[in-house]
Amino acid sequence: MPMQQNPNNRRRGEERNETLIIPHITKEMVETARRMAERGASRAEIEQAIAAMQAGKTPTEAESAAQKKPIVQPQAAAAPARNTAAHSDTVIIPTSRPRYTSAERRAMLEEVQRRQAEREAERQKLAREEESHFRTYRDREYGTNPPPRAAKSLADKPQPDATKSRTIRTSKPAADATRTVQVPQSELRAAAQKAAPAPQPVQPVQTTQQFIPESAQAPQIVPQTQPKPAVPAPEAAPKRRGPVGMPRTYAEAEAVLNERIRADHIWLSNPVLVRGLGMAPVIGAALDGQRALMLCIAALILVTFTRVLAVAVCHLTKNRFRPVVYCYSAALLYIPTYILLYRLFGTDLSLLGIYLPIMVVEPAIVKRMEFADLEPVKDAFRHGFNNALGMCIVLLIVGCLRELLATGAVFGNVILHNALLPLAALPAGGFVIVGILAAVWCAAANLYTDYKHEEVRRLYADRKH
Amino acid sequence: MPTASIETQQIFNGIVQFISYMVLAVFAENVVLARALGVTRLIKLVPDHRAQVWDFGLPLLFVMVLSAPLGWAAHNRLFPWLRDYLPDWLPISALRPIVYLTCGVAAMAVAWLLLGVLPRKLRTGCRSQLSLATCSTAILGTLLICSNQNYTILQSIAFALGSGIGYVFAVFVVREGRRRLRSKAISSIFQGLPSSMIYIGVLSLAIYALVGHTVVL
Repeated sequence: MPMQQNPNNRRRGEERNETLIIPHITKEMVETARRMAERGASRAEIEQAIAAMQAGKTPTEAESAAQKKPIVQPQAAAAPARNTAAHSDTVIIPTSRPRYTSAERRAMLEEVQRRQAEREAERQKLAREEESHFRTYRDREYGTNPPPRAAKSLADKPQPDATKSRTIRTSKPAADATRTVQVPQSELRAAAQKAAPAPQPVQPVQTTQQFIPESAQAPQIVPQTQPKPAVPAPEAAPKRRGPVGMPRTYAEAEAVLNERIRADHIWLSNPVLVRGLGMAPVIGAALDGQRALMLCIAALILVTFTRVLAVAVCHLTKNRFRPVVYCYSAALLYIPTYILLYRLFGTDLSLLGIYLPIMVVEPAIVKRMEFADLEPVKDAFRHGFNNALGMCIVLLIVGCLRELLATGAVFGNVILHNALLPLAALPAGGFVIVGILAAVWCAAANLYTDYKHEEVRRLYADRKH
Repeated sequence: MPTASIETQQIFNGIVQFISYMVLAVFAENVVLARALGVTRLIKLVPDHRAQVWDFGLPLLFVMVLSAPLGWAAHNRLFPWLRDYLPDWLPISALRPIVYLTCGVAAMAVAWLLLGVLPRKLRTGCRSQLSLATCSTAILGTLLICSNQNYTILQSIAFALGSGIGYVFAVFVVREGRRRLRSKAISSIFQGLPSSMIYIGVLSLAIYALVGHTVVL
């Protein structure tokens, strides 16, 4: 091959003629090179043949000359056996890279494509299975409770004003106004607006009664980041629901989740530690396990059946005179409750002092009177029982903890031989213990609700509208 | 002259006794800090505007003061009379809540009329809160405490007035504390209800350090 002159070798000041050697390659040389390459000839042979043709030989002579003078000796031992039959012994077969015929290359290409197709099919199958699993889980978790009633009830209840809506800790606008679990207010409002096109007018009494959280809490609470297009406009989003009432959109799933969080009166919306109801008996009277047990039985009866009785009476009175109905229902139910407790515990009942009678006006029992929407009796029983269970759990925990800290015993059984914190027997200690317990409880509940919101966000990522 | 002096002395003693019971109810026997009564409503009131606090505080004061003589009458007149007519299986203690609740409702009716003398804006706000104030544990608890302690009618009124003032006092003290508890230095899990409860506990502890005794349930 002609060599191009190195420009760095040029001597300075010397003028000389530069000759550019252009290789003369004819069509016959190209055909010869191609033919030799198809036969498996090496690069050196092809170059030798082309040089011979440039010297004036015919292509046939050049090919034969190049094949008679191999530059590299064939290494038959290292060459693959598959090419030995196809090529002659003069063909140089490199050991570094096997040579394939076009048929073999085509077969290899088809094999690679087949494997890729198999991998793709397998990946799609796994994706479909995963999607099916997610959909099954999503429908099972969020598709059982239809949200419209929940959203409508949220819409019916008074909403906090706009300046205070940035706080996240009020998950439910008014009913659970004191709750500390983080539930996005905007999501609730969007779901409520979507599900209830014509919200009921708010009564002035409830408007003034609602808990107005501090605006300073807002920057310290991590807001729920939500995808922007997730909540469509109410008029632009028709109600697309599945045949079995499962939520079809992200907003509906969020509404279902918020309703489930709000309805969980035992853990996530505990009446005492999350919503701050029923503090007086917990702090003032639950000094030990026995008193807590007595209060538990009283709360179980009063909270559950007061709600049922009051709702039944409110159905008769067209939901009027709610404060009187609720308080007198509790006061009437207090009579059999006291008799039952007196038979069970005898004169030990006097240990509770004023905290047993004042349960008839405890907010955990009569809180419901502040809201205008009238629930069915069946729901009243369920909600009342759940509230009572939540209150009982906190009463027992606080009672046993305070007894353990104050006396080192639980239900009279000595566990520690020294009192760790005698202050726990006083209401001051009760305030502190309930405060710390509420912090831990709310932190755990917030972690869980955050996880569930993130889960809904991921499960419904493919259904923005 | 001696007769006049004795009457003056009795009046003076009565005034001193009234004030002492009232001060006792405001500080040492505070319904919130010493007995944890009305804490739920207090926590709701604390973040509210000052006017909204008075919308609840004034009806509470009215109902508490007006129900005190009714509660005294029920304890000293009604229950002894009623005890003779009750069957053996029904203890008189089982009827205490419904009787004292009736006293509170009667006081609420009178308070509703008395609130009419207030300016219209304040009257509307107070009347809207009147039923909730009547159903507060602070009022029923005060009536029960007065009956348990066998207070006279004057002592009952003084104690009820002091309890009402003490409740409003506790609301404003906790309100000031909550304003300072908005600091970002406080962990987020303690924001809101937990920090308020711990703050009330510290205040309650200060009351106990001042008084040095345990309250009678």
